[in-house]
Formats: sequence, structure tokens, C-alpha cells
Amino acid sequence: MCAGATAAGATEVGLGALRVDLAGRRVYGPGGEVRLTAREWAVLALLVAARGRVQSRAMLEDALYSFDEEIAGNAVEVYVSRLRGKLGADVIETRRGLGYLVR
Amino acid sequence: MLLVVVRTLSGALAPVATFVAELDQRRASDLSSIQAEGLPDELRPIPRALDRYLVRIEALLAAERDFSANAAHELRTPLAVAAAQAQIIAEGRGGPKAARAVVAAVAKVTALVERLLELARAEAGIGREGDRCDLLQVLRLLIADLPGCPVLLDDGDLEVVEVAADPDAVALVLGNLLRNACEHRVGPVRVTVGPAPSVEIATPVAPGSAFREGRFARGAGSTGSGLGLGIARTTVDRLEWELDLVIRDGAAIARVNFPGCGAGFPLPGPNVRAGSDSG
Repeated sequence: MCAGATAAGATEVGLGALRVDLAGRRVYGPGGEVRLTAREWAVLALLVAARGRVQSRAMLEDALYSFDEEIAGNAVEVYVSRLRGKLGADVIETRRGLGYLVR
Repeated sequence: MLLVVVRTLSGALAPVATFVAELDQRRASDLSSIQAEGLPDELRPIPRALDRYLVRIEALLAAERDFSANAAHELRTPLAVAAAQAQIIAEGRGGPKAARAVVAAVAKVTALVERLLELARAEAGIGREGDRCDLLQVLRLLIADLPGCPVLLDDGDLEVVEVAADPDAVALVLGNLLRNACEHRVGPVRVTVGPAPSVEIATPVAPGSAFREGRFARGAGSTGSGLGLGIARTTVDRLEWELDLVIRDGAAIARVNFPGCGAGFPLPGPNVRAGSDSG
């Protein structure tokens, strides 16, 4: 999965066939806008902000703690799975035992 | 015999005729108490009810007069500031500070006029016709229009929350509640959307804070228009939605219940799906 080059502070990021509008908190695919929930967006935004670098499960859980005081043990896996379902199976890569990343 | 009955009836109904004549001859501006002398006991509740109605009209007119006077006063102050600073600039004595003061004063007038127009729309019955919109879409647009105010939008893992309401009316209510929250916050604002459908705006506020719904009613130090809560309340009441305003545990909480189009559809959450990926 290749991400388009983006300048530091850019508000739009190319992610393969996807366009991620960081300021508007929206994602656009070839078929138009892909609706994400706030928690899905929180996980994706963290991965996109750190593109190319692995984000640990704990880091992604921190993003979800802003919504809930307690989260389920498999919360990160569920939201990553949902994002793959909406954006494409290869958008988020797994580094087994380390975490997730987007390129 | 018939003549006796007619005379008796005429005598008994004479006070009624006097009462009707007095009402007919009243000037529109005369809201004084209605005289009911001589009326039969059975008819006395009518003038008493009319008196109560006139008292309500008098109060309404007094409120309208106060509102006009307050609106004029609120507009006059920033306009006077703008005029004074513009005069200084025109005389070549003003620097960037004077120009900034003009810009700030005009911005204040603009914001106030926008709120007054919104109030007029609310009172005219905005959004009465059947319509529907996505609550989340409206909220995202409103929140994006609040730079400098951190707002966490918790959509409850819903992708779409449809309400049976005009999007302009939804934006009018939620926009004013959000601006009010941002104005008085001492911490980040949290907006929680429920499938009911409902929106709850929770704002950490300073001790002693209170919701002030009166027109041009403001707390100490507030720079708001003092109209926002009144606009929200007027719109909600006219459209028969529900608005609850409470201060609880250091937070000002505004909750709006909207007419729904059927519940939104929450996606399967983490608690119902076993993890299959161990990143």
C-alpha cells in the first residue's frame, strides 16, 4: 500500500486510492465519501499522522480512551477490522506483536 | 304576558349590552381592566378571563419594548466604538490598533445582527414543514465552524442519525448551544449523540455558572450576545422538540431530543466481536 507524499502540516493525505481530509475529518474513495464513525476516525487519524511508523496497540487504545473511560480488550482489533472493511483490506498493515501502520 | 317576558329579558340583558358596547368602543391600546358591573353572576367569569388575557398581552408588549430597547443599546455601543476609531483613522491619527478596534466592533455588530435575525426566524416558525436530515452531518459542519474551541464529538459509533427535522432548524438550535458552550467552557466541550435521536452538549464550567435564558441575559465576563439560549429555546418550543438545561457535577449540560425517523444503526461494537487480529 503506497501513500502519496504529503508536506508537513498538510490537511489532505493521499492513501492509495483514498484521500484523507485531516482538517475536515473525512475520507474519500473512488466511489465518494466513506462514512467513518468518530472512533474509527480516531484510530485512522493516529495511523495517518504517524504514517510509515508502527503504532502500538496501546497507542491506538489511548485514542479510544478519549471517548470512553473503559474500553474492551479487543477494541483496537475491532476498529482496525472495521476500517479495513470500509477502506480496503490492505490499507492498514499488521506488524504482528508490534502494532499497525499505514504507508 | 309576552310583553312582560320581553321587558324582563331586556332588563336582565341590558348590562350585557353595555358590556359588549364597552368592548366595541375600546381603543386598541387600552389594556385596562374591563368593567363588569351589573353583569349576571353566571357571566362574570367572562370579563375576569378577558382581564387575565389583557394582563398577559400587557406583559408581552412590555417584553417587546424592553427587547427593542436592549437590542438598540447592544448595537449602539460597538457602533459608537467603530465610529470613534474610524474618526481617528480618518484624521490620520490611528494606527493598526485603531483599525483592529474597528474590525472587532464591526464583528461584534455582525454577530449580534446574525443572532437577531436568527431570533426572528425562530419566532417566525422556522422548519415547520416536514423534512429530515442527518444529525451527525449537521454537527460536523457546526463543529468545523468553531475554530479554537476543542469539541469531542462522540457519535456513539453511529454512522447516520436521521431526524425528522429541517436541517436549518437543527443547525439553529445546536449552533447556538455549541457557541454558548464554547463561550463559557473551562475545558473541552463534549458532544454525545444518541440514537433516540438526541444530542447532549456537556461543558465544564466555573463554579456558580448558570444557564441564562433571558434575552440579553449574560453572566459576568461573558462576551456572547445573550440571545443564543433564547433562540434555541424558542425554536425547540415551536417545533415541539425537547430541550433540558442543567448544571451537574461542574458541567453545563444541554440536551435536545429530536423527532426521529427510526433509530440509527449502531455497528457491532468491541464487546460483541471477538478479536481476530493481534497487531
